[in-house]
Amino acid sequence: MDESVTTTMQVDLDAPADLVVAALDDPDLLTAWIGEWTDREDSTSTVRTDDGILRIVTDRGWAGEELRWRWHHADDDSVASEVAIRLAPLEGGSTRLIVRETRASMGPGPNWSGDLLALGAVLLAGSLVRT
Amino acid sequence: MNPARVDRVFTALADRTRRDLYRAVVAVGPSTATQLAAERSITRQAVAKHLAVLSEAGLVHSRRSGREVLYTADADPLVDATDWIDATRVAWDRRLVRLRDLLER
Repeated sequence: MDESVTTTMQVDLDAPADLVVAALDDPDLLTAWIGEWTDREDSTSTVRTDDGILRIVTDRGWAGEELRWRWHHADDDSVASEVAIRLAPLEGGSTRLIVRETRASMGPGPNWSGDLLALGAVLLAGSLVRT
Repeated sequence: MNPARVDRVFTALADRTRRDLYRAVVAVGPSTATQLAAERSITRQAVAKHLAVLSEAGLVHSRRSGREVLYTADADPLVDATDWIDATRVAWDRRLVRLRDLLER
């Protein structure tokens, strides 16, 4: 069974969910934190992130409290991943944001990126090639 | 970071059995498909197929020793794969700091 490589990050924002939703939907606000964001007529978007990479954003949409999209490098569509951003309102008017990015080629399944990082750390800390 | 190489590594290690075999070769050192199969409930042929995938990803190298083929682990391809994970985390950390600044100012 193939399993996924996913990175997950979480942040609690001192802002109500509707404001966070706006920051996830409005191209001008997206530009302020993700990168220069442009919606195109064909329902895709482009974003130039701060690493200078231009990405093509496709299949963007909300599924309940979760915003999902796929993106790939404009000059290399093999470098693709899936982003899922879940909102969870907290007591006191704050909002928890949970971001997951998954290598698109892996498909769904248990996450083993921690496993891989641990294995890599062990290997790279010792001799790189055992003979 | 070589995207094609990263994909090969992720694809090779996306299978639990291959991760188990890779770990075993790392831990034990040079191993044959027969030795690896003997410790698991899978056939030598199945192990050999998994080792071939690991080999295509550069995670193991094979060399003949008499009548046996010995497989040796190589960690180098993991660097690109773990770099992708690290770079993705760092990028989202930066973005989320900017989002917090935007929303909380």
